[in-house]
Amino acid sequence: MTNKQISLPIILSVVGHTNTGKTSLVRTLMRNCDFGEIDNRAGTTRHVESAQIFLGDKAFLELRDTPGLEDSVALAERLQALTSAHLSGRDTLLTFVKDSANKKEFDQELKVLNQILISDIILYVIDCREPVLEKYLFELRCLSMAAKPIIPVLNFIEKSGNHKTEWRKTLADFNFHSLVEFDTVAFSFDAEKRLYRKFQTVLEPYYALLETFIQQREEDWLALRHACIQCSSEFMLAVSKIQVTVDTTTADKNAEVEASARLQNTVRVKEKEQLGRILQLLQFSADDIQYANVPIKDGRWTLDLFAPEALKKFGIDTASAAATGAAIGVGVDVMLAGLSLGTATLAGAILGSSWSTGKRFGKQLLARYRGQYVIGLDQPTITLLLARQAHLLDALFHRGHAAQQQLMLGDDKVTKLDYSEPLQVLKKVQNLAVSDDEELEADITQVLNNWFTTVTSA
Amino acid sequence: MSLDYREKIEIEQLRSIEQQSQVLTIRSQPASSFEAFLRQRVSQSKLQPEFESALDQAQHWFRTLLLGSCLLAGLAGMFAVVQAVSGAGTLNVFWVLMVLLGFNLLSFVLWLLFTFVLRTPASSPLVSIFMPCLNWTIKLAAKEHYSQYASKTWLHIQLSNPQGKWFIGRVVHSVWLSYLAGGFIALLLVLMTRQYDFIWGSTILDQAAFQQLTAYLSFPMDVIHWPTPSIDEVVASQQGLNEMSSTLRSSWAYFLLGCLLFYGLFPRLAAWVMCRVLDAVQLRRFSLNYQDPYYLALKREWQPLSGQGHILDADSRGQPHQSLQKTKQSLQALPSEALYLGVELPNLLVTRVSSQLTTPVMVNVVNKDTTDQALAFIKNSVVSVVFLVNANKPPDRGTLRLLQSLMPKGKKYWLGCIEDGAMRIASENTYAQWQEQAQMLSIQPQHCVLLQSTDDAHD
Repeated sequence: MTNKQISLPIILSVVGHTNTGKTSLVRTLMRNCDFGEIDNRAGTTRHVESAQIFLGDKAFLELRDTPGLEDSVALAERLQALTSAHLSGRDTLLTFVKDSANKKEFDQELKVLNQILISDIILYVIDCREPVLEKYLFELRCLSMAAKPIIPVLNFIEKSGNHKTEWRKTLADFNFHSLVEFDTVAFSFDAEKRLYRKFQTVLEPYYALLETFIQQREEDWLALRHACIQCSSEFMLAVSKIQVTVDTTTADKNAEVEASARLQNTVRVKEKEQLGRILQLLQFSADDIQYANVPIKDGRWTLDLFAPEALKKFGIDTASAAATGAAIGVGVDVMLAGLSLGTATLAGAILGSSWSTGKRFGKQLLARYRGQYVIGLDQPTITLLLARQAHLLDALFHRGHAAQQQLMLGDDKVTKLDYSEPLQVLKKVQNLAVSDDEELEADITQVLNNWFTTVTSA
Repeated sequence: MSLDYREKIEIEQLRSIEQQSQVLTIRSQPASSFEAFLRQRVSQSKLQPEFESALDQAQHWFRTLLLGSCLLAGLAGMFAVVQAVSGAGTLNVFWVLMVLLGFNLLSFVLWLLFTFVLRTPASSPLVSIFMPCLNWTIKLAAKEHYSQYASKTWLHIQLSNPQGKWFIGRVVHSVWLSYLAGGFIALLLVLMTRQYDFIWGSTILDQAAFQQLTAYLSFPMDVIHWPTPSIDEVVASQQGLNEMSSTLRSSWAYFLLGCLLFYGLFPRLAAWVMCRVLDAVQLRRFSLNYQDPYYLALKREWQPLSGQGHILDADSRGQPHQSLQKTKQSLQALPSEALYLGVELPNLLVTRVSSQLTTPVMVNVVNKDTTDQALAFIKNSVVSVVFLVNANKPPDRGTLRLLQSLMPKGKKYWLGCIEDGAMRIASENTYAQWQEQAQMLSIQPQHCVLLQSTDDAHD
């Protein structure tokens, strides 16, 4: 392999009939919903626009989004007229594009032909919702004349009643065996990877570079997934820790209602913030989601001070904190030149225990002393929040950047998942009213991360 | 160039400020590496004076606090010595040693226990008390929220595992070193300026045990020929015996100072050095979690996955106009006596529509053969010709040309745009385009209708 054979970026012409999803393909590969314009009217893209995908800081792939081929039958007839014994298909195309007389009638087609002649690969996008028509076969014939590798991309394969099988058969008849199924709306990273693998087969000199590129894309995708999952886990941890104090000593009978409303608002605000973070990470816009408020019904779950795990943890912490207290007490004794004869050591141990207790349950104990009580989220609400996060992640991980339909984040998404494990750890968070125990928080986050990973990759 | 730990801490402090408040706006600039990009962001934030002080505040406070604590501890050490030796001309050697070193030893053992034996959780008992106290101090001292965030982050990194225990060790040993140094200086000054007799006595332990203990304690001092009392001198110093010679006094004084050095200052100094080194080593190992959403977003900012290029070949014709839309009608809106022809319709739609019309669709035009068949039907027909097209699929120049080729003069033409239930969303948008096409084909506007098949109406 010589340097002369390799020049970057690899130029890919994205071609096809009108409205097959060419711009959508570019958007999805770029992870950018702002590229080009997507509409259902014919010939939405009427210019050639480029976009780059990077490997490190260098443009590695250059995608050229082209206008749709609108009249391939007439184009094929015109090219047929030019074909002669001494002209190759490529030369015929060159002769055709140089002839300014064709400019008026075939303005869009000329733009496409100009691009395919200078491209390394042609991606021919097919709308599988459409039956195989003769005009599409004419398109393939015209494109084949450029003598460039063509990779048919079967789009909209997730739609019911698609003509995928018919298309596969026809393409095989035309000797297009290296095709790829890639739905620009229902995204799958595996499909994207398969597309790049096809590039490897048709661009042999770039094999190693493409391998590196695929690896980087995969790493980026996994890192992105992990970051989103981490965000969701942190969010669940944060909302589980929310406590609101209800004052029952005042004459105000609405105290509980107000406290509940405060709790609900806090959770809703946090969920919206979380949504914004995930959308930003995955580079979707706020318009991609339709948000419905979390229906925190009764919204109440009185924290149990004497839950078994709370008591267990209470005991462990008391012992360790007492020892710390003793250590500090010794310091105080020494400062007094030992004249206190160890009194401070004992006091330190008591202080240490009190500190630990106060830190864990201070808010609740103080509330009880004042005749108040503390409420947090109830289990159904936590389950719902978990379900919504899982649904959100799963939907966004499989959403192409070309998708136009809004994603509903409603309250009807409590799917049949096994919530026992995350609920168990989140209940622990609530019972212990964890504030600064980083190790415990890290463990819980890990459990949540694992759960989200499992449910979103299912 | 990779980041050193100080830079990493500053980056984390910046992260804390950025994540918790919106006060900071940093304009990112291109950089050769992600590390350089992060470093540059810190430099840019420091250009705003209030943030520079915010990042350094915690360190500054810590140094001041530590210095103050060491000074206090030094004074306490001096005070302890003065208290222990004041009032009497005769000093009980082992009682003085107990006062000066006993609690130091106990605290040292506890530190060893927390650091090396109770490894799980490594330093949490100490950290769990230190952290909230210091957080509270920060809250009191820092006026601005962003200063609090930055300071808490600094503290959190210093105290979090695994470097936390070494950091706490550093602080504890510094304070104890100051205490012992203060005590040593005070003892030296007292012994230099006043004359004491040294005695020892015990009710429970016998003479041999005391001699043995003194010999053990003297061992490291003997190695470097530090003056220590001999066995005879130890015996001679027992309580109630003869008056002490100046040589004996001197031996005990050196022994007392030596014990303070060898069993107080030196071990503390060694532990302090060890903590200092291990803390530095652990801090150097401190790494930023680039998998974290914050860093991932920054990485994107530094090096986007993709970049939008530019328009290579612009549109010279401009967008077509869009006509008004019309409400949907049933298939009965079409003339009952007509020749129905499909144009590039999906087979399923042809079958469905045929079952709902008085006359079935004669042919669906999809290629040259069907075009010829359709033309033959049209030429022989005396009734209106209805072209049925898919309303969900926008028309293009190819369709226009095809329809033109199917429209010999002298006939009445209709354009029925059928909505395909499976792709309903699209139909309303494309109908306007079909109306444009109808105009171009000279089909009367009222003969271009948007249709809904019966199956679809039931959906």
